[in-house]
Amino acid sequence: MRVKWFCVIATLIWFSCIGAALASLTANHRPDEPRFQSTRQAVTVGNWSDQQWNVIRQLAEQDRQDELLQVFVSGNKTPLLGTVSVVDQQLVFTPRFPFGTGVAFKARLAFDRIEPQSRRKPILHDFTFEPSPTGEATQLVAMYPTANRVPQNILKMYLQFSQPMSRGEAYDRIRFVDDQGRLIPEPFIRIQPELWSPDGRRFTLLFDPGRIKRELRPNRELGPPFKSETKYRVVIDAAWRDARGQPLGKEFEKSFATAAPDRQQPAVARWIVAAPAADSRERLEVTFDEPLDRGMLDHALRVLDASGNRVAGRPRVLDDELGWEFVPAHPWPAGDYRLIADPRLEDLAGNSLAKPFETELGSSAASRKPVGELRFEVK
Amino acid sequence: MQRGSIVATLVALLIGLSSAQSMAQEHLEILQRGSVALQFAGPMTFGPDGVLFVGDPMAAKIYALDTGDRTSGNYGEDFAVEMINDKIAAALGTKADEILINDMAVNPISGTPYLSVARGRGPDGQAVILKVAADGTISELELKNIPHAAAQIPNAPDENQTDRRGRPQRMLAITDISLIDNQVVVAGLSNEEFSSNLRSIRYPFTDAPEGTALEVYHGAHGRYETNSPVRTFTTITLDDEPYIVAAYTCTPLVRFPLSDIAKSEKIRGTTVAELGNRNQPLDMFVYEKDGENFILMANSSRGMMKISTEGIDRPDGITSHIRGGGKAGQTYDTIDELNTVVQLDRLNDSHAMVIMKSGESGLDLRVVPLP
Repeated sequence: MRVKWFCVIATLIWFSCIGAALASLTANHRPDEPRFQSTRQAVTVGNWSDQQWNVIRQLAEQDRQDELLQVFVSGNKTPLLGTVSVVDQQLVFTPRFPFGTGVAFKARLAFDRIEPQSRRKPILHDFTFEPSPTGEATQLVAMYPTANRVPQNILKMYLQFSQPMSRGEAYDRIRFVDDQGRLIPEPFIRIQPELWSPDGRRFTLLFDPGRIKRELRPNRELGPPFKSETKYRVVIDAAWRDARGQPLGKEFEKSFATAAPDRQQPAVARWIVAAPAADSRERLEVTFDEPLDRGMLDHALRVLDASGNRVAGRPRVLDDELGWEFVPAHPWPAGDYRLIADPRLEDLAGNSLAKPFETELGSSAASRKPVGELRFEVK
Repeated sequence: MQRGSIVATLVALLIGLSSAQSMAQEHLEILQRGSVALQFAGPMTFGPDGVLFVGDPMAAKIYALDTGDRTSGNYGEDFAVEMINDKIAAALGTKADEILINDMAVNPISGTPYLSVARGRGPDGQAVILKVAADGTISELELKNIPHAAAQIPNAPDENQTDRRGRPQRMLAITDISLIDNQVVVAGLSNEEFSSNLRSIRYPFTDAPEGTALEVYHGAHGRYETNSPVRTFTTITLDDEPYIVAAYTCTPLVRFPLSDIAKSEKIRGTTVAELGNRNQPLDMFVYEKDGENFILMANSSRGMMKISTEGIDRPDGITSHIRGGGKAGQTYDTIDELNTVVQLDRLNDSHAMVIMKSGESGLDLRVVPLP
């Protein structure tokens, strides 16, 4: 009999031990404990008891659900912009912008608003989304002008990248040195906003026009940014970040030398046209009188037939921006054609077909009418 | 300059006539409620009645947005939000080096500063307009269902100006906008050709907004004539005639009559000052202090200038060299305690709202007295 009672008591003790152990194991996941789930689009908190959900629903009816759930960038007291909603027995925080990668976030649930009697501190939930693999490093694929000899009063430079770049740091990533390796202090202007193409791949650097223009105060005080007949290098910093936040990874540089200043406008009349043969798809080739602005050459020239219709085809800028070729989509019918140039088209020193970069008052250049048309015949 | 009925409306509002309320409503009723998808939130300026003008250079458009913010606020001299860049980044769920604050405009009615911000520094960055309450709380100007109007910027790059892969490359970077009388005036520069176009669009915008692009030349000591992009500008009244005072990227400060803005041609401004090398003007406005008018101008590297307007109306401007590196034309004082200001707008007759650098990479938003 004693043995029997002993067995019963031992069994009860054993079961209560197991029960206590199980209870301690599940302490963090009580049936009524809120559960967090986070995706890039939202943080949801669920697993509410009926009583808790009633409180949440009542707060939501008063449009006070924002008081319950906030999300922060870890270490920061300013909450993320976003909306809190109650959907399918869940409290949902939707950020204004999807959660970014590589940033530590902290969701904060004001539990004492849901169960005031609990006096429990806010429940915190940390989460992070790992960045996706970044792929190939961005390259600087070209610097224009291409020629290694440029006028001393060069006005701008284009940097062409293989992928979109990050704005806001360009002027700290470009430096010019002379052939002794000495830094040329700020030959360019830090114009804000930075001059990017819409796709973020091409950056336009403007040299200081106040120093290039004769008689302006910066020109008198500091002289032009570059001297004539001098060798320089432009160096692009490896730390310049692309749009993904990844640095270029390696330094790029290009050497160039300066010639005399160029104060002459380009003139279409001096261009040379090599006309193609009729009924062929030979290329039309145009040789300029001087290198022209690479950015504008992408769209500043077009070919019209005798009726004024634009000829379809594929253009290409030739070496050192000294020429332009055009391969038609269909064979050339014999006849008269016109090459039309945008009068804004500039040379490397900002002299355009329409006007010189600066004009000496009273000079004839100021009143010259731009000619932006060149006729040729296909036969 | 054409002065339509809306000018009368605005004047009536300004001088507080009893009929102003109904006229204001009429002016606002022109704005249509709907969603505005900004591609880029660039320079901004406030018009009357809490209407915010925003330049979107990617879309080559100016938007007029009714903020509905028409009650006076409480931004005192002690208003300061330190490390506003960190706080904005946190509100947008990102790091401080992933946001750009493009511009700040203060609503003259409420004093609320509005910030145009890019979340993400690449071309896919998201555009957002934030406002900062007097208690420092940051919230968003909701653009999903906002009364608004839009106008295309005249003579802006068109989508045919692409590279050989068909990608548009040319863009007009907007540097400043302002509502002057019934014209939204836009300063900007192309990422290709070098030019000086001030564009203006009549407001309220019509279905086919009229616009002009004005080329402003300036002289260099009577010998050369040239032009370059305008970085920032303001208006001043001289002998009862309104003038624009424009600060150029190549440093001259140039004056020309506002009536010239309606001309779609080349005009010549008068150089009234040259403000020094290795510097870019950032923001400017005219204010009155002790019975005199001054121009307050924030600069990229030469600090905050308080520029005297005495003699700014002289007919010839600067015509000769100032030897020995002296200041040419209008004189100015540099306000040392404001030398790190990067964004500037008028708050009221006695104070300005500024964003200024703080430490290595911080930016503080604060109210400062006008010097």
